[in-house]
Amino acid sequence: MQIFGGRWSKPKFLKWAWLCGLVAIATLLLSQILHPTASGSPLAGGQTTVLNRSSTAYEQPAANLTATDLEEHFAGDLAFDAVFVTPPARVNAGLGPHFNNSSCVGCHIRNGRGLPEKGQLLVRVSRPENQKTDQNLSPEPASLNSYHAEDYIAIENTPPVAGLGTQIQDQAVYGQPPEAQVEINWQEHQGKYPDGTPYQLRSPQALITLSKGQPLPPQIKTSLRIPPPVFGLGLLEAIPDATLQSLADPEDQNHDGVSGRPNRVWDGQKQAEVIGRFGLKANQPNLFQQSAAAYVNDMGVTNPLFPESNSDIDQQTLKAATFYVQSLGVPARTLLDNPEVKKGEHLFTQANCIACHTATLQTGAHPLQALAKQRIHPYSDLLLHDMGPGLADNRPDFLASGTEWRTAPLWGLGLTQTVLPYSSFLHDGRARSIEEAVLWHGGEAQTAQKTFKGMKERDRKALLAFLNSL
Amino acid sequence: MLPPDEGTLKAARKAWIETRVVWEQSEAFAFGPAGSLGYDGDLDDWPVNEVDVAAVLKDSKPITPELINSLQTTQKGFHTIELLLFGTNSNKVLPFSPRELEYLKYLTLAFDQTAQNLKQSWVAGVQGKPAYQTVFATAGESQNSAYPTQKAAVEEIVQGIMGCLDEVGKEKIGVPLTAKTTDKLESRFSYTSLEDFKNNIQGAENAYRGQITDSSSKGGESLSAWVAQQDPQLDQKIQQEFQAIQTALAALPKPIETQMTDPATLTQLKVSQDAILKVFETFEDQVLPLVKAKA
Repeated sequence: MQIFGGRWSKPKFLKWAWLCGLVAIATLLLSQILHPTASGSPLAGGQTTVLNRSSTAYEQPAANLTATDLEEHFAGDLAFDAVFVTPPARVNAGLGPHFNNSSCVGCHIRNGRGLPEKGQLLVRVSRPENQKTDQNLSPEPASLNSYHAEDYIAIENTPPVAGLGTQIQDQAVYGQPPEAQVEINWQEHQGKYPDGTPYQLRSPQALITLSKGQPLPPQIKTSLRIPPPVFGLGLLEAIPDATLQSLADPEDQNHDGVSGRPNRVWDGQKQAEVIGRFGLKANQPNLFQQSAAAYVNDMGVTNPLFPESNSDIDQQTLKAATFYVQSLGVPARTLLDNPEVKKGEHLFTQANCIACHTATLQTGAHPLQALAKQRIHPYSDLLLHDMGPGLADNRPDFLASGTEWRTAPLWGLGLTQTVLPYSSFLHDGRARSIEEAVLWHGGEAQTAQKTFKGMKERDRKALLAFLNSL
Repeated sequence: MLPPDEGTLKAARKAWIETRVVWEQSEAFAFGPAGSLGYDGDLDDWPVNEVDVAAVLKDSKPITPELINSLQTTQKGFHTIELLLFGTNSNKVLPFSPRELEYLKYLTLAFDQTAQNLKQSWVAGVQGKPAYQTVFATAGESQNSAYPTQKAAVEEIVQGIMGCLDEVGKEKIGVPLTAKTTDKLESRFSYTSLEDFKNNIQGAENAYRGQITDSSSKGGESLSAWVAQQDPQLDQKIQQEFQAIQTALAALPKPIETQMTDPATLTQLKVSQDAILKVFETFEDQVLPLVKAKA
């Protein structure tokens, strides 16, 4: 039984080394000892990597934080855990009046990938772009004086819907109607591998009922989302823009059928258009803005970046929650020496899954020193790719078209259902297993998906075993 | 429903405190469906949304299971029931309003259902999913998507213990200790926050010793027995350190809620916190590496 592969089994050693300021040397030595496989090593998050394959694996501070960083991380953990309540209150006042959940951790349970259930699932909405007003939206959309209109900026192509804004808050403080109610119906799809093995997929259909009981007009664009995991995001923030630009191939000049490009989004602090990297369509530029937007949109908690009439939380709290996310460690890979896993990794490369799920990247500078200059294995290029009509939400977001999604990082993937049993995959949680998620890949990923489908059963199993080792 | 008298109120409060014991002791191994299926939040979210609880009481809409189902997690579960039963400072007196009684009744029924569901998710499985006890017990088997190795399952127990110790030490005791107020004491309405500390620690110790209650005999199969096999001194050290925590907690005044301005209380809280973090470190520095190397 080996969990961290071969000789890599002594976190005490790592800790001791860190205390002595020798972590760089230790890691170098370790990565040489642990003969690197195609992706490099078990150290998925470089020196931030944590050796934990339990349900707490996504909640660990990065292994290389200083004592001061750790204190800040702990303060951030409290902010991330804080459950907001209706004001006035002695503790955590500021919830609502409209919201999806009342704490960060309420959606991002154990920092993991969520389920398509009330409290975790959310729906983004927008008006068709050619429709400048709401006049054609009949009947009357929702309670026009009582809803949460998310901030709308000039270059955004997600015009808000009257009575809803750009995100449906399906909960409200007691006595106020939520903006709408969302119910999911699942449609089953039967499929078959070329070798005859049957499989079953499902896709969601959202039934959205506005506060006065009428259905959401069909011309409103909707996009269903489940919470993505929140660890490792600091490292992704530390990847230089230039790296993402160098990975991009918008015209597919290398003719591999894959043409990634970065999103371009609005940075509210810089007041400028910049590369987007967070969110399922990469519509947020950095974690500070991502966190501030989540406070105001998901919890109705106003903050210094999105104050509306006042701020429910101060700059320090907003920074603390952001720091918590930035300073989480990435779990180490497991079963590296397992022959099936090794074979699966080879097949993953061979099927060109790595065209988008880039195995290895190097971080640049970051205000949090622990994240700088790390060799990491996120299995993502953070770029937008056309994923085909099956996965399309048909709701453009900045440069992302209605069929494009940002490549999901795959690190820690095998722990998804350890952290949260029964949680599911893809943007709306339609895939009940990693296998189903692979089968949904279309568009630019169609060739890779076909390669997977065409594999012998034991090869498909090996590829999935590799994904489970991440 | 008969109007409550002093006897029935006392019995209800006692039942709340006893239920709390079991729950707090289980928090050291609350991995699995408790989090992902939302049971933990429904049973034990904190703090109470006092404004919205007051709004429910003021409203005239009939209280039904559907209404309870639509409430936020901070308007139901342990602490809302606690608020209604004990008042904001363990000072509630009879009579209760009919609306309070209705709210209490339906909250308790919903609570019971959630607790049953949680149990069901472990022993039989819910929503067509396999029983989580089976998932956990088959760690290391090829089709197990949660625990690909047995070692990962052992680590789960150790991490659960550590998580519980960390939370009590740094958060449940640490935050009120820094703030020097009762605001963040978990069960401040009933004046039983100290019982929570003790039961959390007991739960961590139970997880280590493979026992359910303090009185049940220590079985052969436990993390403690395994550690003792590898390193008898380490096992002894851990047992002594757990004992030291219980001694430190026993020296705290009861209820702690009325004593938070007393410097002696704060000193003793610090002593307790140090004792808890000491065991945490032992698990982090010695047990976890042992599990990773030898389990």
